[in-house]
Amino acid sequence: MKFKSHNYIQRSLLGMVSFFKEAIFAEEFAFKPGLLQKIEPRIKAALILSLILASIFIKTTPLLLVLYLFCLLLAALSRISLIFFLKRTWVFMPIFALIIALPLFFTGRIQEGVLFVVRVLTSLSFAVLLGLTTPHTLLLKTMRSFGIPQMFVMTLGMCYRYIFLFAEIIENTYLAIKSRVGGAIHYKHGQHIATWKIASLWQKSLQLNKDIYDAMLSRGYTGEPKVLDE
Amino acid sequence: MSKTIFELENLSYSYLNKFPALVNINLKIESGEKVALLGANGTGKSTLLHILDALVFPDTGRIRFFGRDLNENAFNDEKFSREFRRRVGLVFQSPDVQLFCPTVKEDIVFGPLQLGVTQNEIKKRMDRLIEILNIRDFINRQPHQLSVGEKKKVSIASVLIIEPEVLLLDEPTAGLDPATCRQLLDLIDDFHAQGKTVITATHDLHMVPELAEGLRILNKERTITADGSCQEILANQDLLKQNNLVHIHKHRHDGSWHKHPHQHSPT
Ligand SMILES: Nc1ncnc2c1ncn2[C@@H]1O[C@H](COP(=O)(O)OP(=O)(O)OP(=O)(O)O)[C@@H](O)[C@H]1O
Ligand SMILES: [Mg+2]
Repeated sequence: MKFKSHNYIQRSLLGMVSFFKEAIFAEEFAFKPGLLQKIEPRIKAALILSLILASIFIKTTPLLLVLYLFCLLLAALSRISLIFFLKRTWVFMPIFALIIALPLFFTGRIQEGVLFVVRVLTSLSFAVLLGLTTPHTLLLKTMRSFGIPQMFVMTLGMCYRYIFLFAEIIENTYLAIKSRVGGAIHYKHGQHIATWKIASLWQKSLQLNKDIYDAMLSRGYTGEPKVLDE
Repeated sequence: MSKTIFELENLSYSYLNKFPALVNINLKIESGEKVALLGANGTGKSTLLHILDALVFPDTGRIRFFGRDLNENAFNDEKFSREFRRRVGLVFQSPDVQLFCPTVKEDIVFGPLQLGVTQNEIKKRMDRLIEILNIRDFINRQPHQLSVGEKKKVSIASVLIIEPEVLLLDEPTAGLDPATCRQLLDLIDDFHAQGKTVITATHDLHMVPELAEGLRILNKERTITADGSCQEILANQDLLKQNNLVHIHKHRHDGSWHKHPHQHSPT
């Protein structure tokens, strides 16, 4: 018996993984000769930070919308495909909207709800814009130059690196399953594999965590990471 | 001072107190040796290297480094800990574990930076290694974007830059193309020619004569069954076969299949 819904895993698991992999790791825009790419990373970060602050303090929806349009304009000038940009920023929205804004809508404070959603959208878009137009290694370096402790920056960098590794593991696992069963996985069976895989992934991440810590110790790490001055 | 670098006595180790990984190991490694730990999959080679690098400590038995006991206590002594990390370097089996920095360059300089080598000296060493290993093209890239072989080269650079006296290598030739493999073997030779010690874990019989002079075999009981020179042990086909280390070749002669172990005649 073959269920159409075997696509369930394909869509939900692999689709999600690929999406996040693309969303987090797409660096192609960071190297395009656009407006924001040309600005020195530290100045750019300061600029974007102040725009985010502005969007937090602005109290009227129309003014916020202007700021949002300005953000889209900046994206366009930085040669980022608008569809890509919108997809990337809007996909994170429902989570915020649902968790925080829904109660506002339900209690009739619709205007407040709208203001909130637009505000989150605007500040999020600016943050994404910064991320998209700066290679992530430079972003980490910029954080360092803003006085953010190296420990924090290093942890962030490692998270980034190993999320990628896990994305690859999931993708490869999916391909391995597919190559063995020819893509037609029974819905229930597929779900079972997915559940099992997530459990083992969790285990794997604990093991990886220990192994990486060992790898750091082995090269002399003592708890205070040091970096090269350049 | 003793010239014995590592001395292991009745050492056993198990993961989570459940899965035995090393059983009653007795092993002595002298300064300047070039040895291979040979064993099939799952015989405890990686675990043994982690013990030698003092990343895990034995459940029972003991391990000594230049006569000093290696245990948690010894590594509470900051000076000793740093000294040990400077003198002993381990290249992990998986480059994904070994390389954890955002860029290749940061990964390469990680070790010496933590160990307090001066920045000028680090840059000098790095430039030399980049030249030797021919990795200049991807020095600013992210480790996860590299191919398996490229990652392996960077892993090796990240340890060699510490300039250790003892180099522990876990399956160093796995996944390398013949030219890169050659490069690596030459690098190991140079390292050994400077009077340094190389300990390599592998199950690749072909590489053994190039990687090592002495051999220790780990069997499926996860203990050491043989200890001798490369020539001696490689000549002992029965021993190798017992330990699942021989390739069985199968090919056709006049329409019928024919199986025999792979052999290298010692000419
Ligand atoms: N994290 C772990 N948890 C439980 N058991 C483990 C763990 N790591 C290794 N083992 C077990 O310990 C034994 C020795 O493992 P080890 O990785 O040292 O073998 P190996 O000789 O390096 O194998 P390979 O050639 O495949 O790399 C194996 O039986 C393995 O299943
Ligand atoms: Mg191993």
